[in-house]
Amino acid sequence: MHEGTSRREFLRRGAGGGLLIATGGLVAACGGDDGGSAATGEAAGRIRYLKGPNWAEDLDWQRKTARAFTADNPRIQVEPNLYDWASVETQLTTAFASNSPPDIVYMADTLWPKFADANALLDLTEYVNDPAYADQKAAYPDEAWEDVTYDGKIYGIPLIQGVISVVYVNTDLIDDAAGAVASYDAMREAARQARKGNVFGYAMATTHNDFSYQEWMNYVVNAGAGILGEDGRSPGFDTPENAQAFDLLRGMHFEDESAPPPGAYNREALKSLFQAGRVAIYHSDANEKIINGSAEGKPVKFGYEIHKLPPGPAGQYVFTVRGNVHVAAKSESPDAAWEYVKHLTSANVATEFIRAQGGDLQPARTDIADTVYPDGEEFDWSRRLVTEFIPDSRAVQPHPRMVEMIKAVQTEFERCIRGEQGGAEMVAAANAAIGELAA
Amino acid sequence: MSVAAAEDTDLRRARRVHRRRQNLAGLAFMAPNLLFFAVFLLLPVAWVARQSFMSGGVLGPAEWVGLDNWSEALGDADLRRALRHTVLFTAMTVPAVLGVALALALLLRGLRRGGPIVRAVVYLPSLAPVVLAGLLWIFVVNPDVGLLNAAVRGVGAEPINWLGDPQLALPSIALLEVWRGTGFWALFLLAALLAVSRELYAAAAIDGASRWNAFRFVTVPGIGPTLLVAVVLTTLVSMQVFDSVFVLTNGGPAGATDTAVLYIYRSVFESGNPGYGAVLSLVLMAFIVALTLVIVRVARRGTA
Repeated sequence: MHEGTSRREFLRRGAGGGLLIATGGLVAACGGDDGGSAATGEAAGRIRYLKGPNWAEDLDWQRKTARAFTADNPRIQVEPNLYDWASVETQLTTAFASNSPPDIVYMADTLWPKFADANALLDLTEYVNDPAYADQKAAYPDEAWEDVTYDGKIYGIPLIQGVISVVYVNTDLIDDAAGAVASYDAMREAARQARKGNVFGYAMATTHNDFSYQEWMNYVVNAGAGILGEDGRSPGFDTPENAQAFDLLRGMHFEDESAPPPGAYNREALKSLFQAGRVAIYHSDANEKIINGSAEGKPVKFGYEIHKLPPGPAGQYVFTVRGNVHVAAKSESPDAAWEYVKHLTSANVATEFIRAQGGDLQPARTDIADTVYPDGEEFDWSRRLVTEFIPDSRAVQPHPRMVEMIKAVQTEFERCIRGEQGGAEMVAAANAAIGELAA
Repeated sequence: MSVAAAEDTDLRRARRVHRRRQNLAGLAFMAPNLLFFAVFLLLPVAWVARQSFMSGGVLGPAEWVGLDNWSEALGDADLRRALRHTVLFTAMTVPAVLGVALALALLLRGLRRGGPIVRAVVYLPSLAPVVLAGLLWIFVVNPDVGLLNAAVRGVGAEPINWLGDPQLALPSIALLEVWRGTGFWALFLLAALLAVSRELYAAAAIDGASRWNAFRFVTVPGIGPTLLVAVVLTTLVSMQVFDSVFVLTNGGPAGATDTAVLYIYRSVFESGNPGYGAVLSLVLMAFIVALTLVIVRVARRGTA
């Protein structure tokens, strides 16, 4: 790659750097924590940071942040890079199998335990429990730390949380949106009533390629079940409540045919159906601007409301995915990596990151929950997510074979919504498959 | 020793030296290729064979487990299903790709004008990267706006759930491979067709051979060796199908498109068990070699 810098590029970078310095000064003046402060101790080294893109300009933002950090910490150079979400597991497996993996890696909650179990991640327990870090540690809820703990050791620092399961109710098709999502029975009936011609009453992704688990896991947590039981080691999928939840999904897909035929539309196509006014209740992630078309400059012309999935027997939760930063066990500069991890997850930098992304991510830290999104209509939905949805969040438990477990459940789920088996058979078969993987 | 015997001994020695020099020269010429063959094929196969008796080895150290991986493979119903899907996929794609390709090649041979343009158009799908072709295919099979379902609706039938129906998902992926592969093989077979002497067709016509008989007794034997190569290569490629399945269904719906290589990939990258993946690779390799030998033997018997 050409590393030279043209005069124009130099000026542009200089202007960018000036802007960053000015922003840093402004943040410091406002009394925020010192996200860009100099590292303590003798930490030094060249750090490679690998993450998946959260938005189109993510890499540019990471590079700017890294340059600003190095300006304050000249002994630590940071080189950010991106992996591709579609093949993340392959890329990270290859990276960690090498002798020089990236020092810092951003991973979702389904993936990191596999690398922790293989001793590829650095145990951060001592760093996190260091009294000097106590204030920062206290800024996170206990669940956030539990979600990065495996085998009693802390392997990551939580950065963001994303709500990946909400329902969009088209109010041109269903008058009483709140009533339609008051209970599972009400939702099923509303979907059945709305199914007319080429309009579907309910839609959710139904294939593994489309991360269908994001939707069906919400039914699982509402049923009080989980991929694993409370011990985090044995299966926890086979419960009567969970069987009922999958009977509901089977009913909407197979018996009522309120939902599109399983696998007929991928997530992108389902979104297009919703935008075309052909889905009454669309179950998908919380990226409202993408779902309603405004991100592409073509906002939908009908009214809609966004709600949590109706309550299940155990409660009304939202299913979320956590994004954490981890340090590689083979890092040659773990202290320098830790300094940059602290910087990335600090209140100011996390706020900047989430704001730069545009409003679809929520912070893992609770101390910035009220301030992460500025006042104004633009971020109304984002603030609502943070204040109303995140407190009721549930995520997957950490397990090294969680991706395989989800895939095993997905296969049984697909058979269930095609009418090949009932909810009870489905959860029993899935539970057995989880058990084999957990053994 | 007589003079004649001494001359005979000298002559034999000279022949031996000459033969040795010839062999050495031959080996020297082959050395670069042999080295390449050993480093990039024999050693990896040997490494895979060794790995099949190990556990771990990707993220942590490998551990000797003896025949555990092999005995697990013997009782693995998912592996048998993946192999069955692979054979089915091959049985669908090879005849379809080569049948359509041969028909196209015959048409192209008879083309009087615009041949280069038509050949370029026929070849175009082969240039599409698999991921791009897969994404295009998702549009082609879309229930509302897809070309295939438009045709289905055109004859008054209900749209078909091509990739979502477990019975149709594998044939749908095979259809994509037929679309992608036909152009290449059409040109490959066209080259062979053009090499068949026109005098043979003229002789067949004088003997009163019909078009079908000319095709059967002149064309097929004329392109026989090329056709055999095409059958073997398309079989090899089909047996190793991965990318199009990965992009389109990732083994779904409900495991209906799990194939052997996808299963190997999962063993290595998802289950973190390259030893088991190595067993599956060796099983697949043995399977492919056996199938290729059968194809070659059947083809030779046919031409004999």
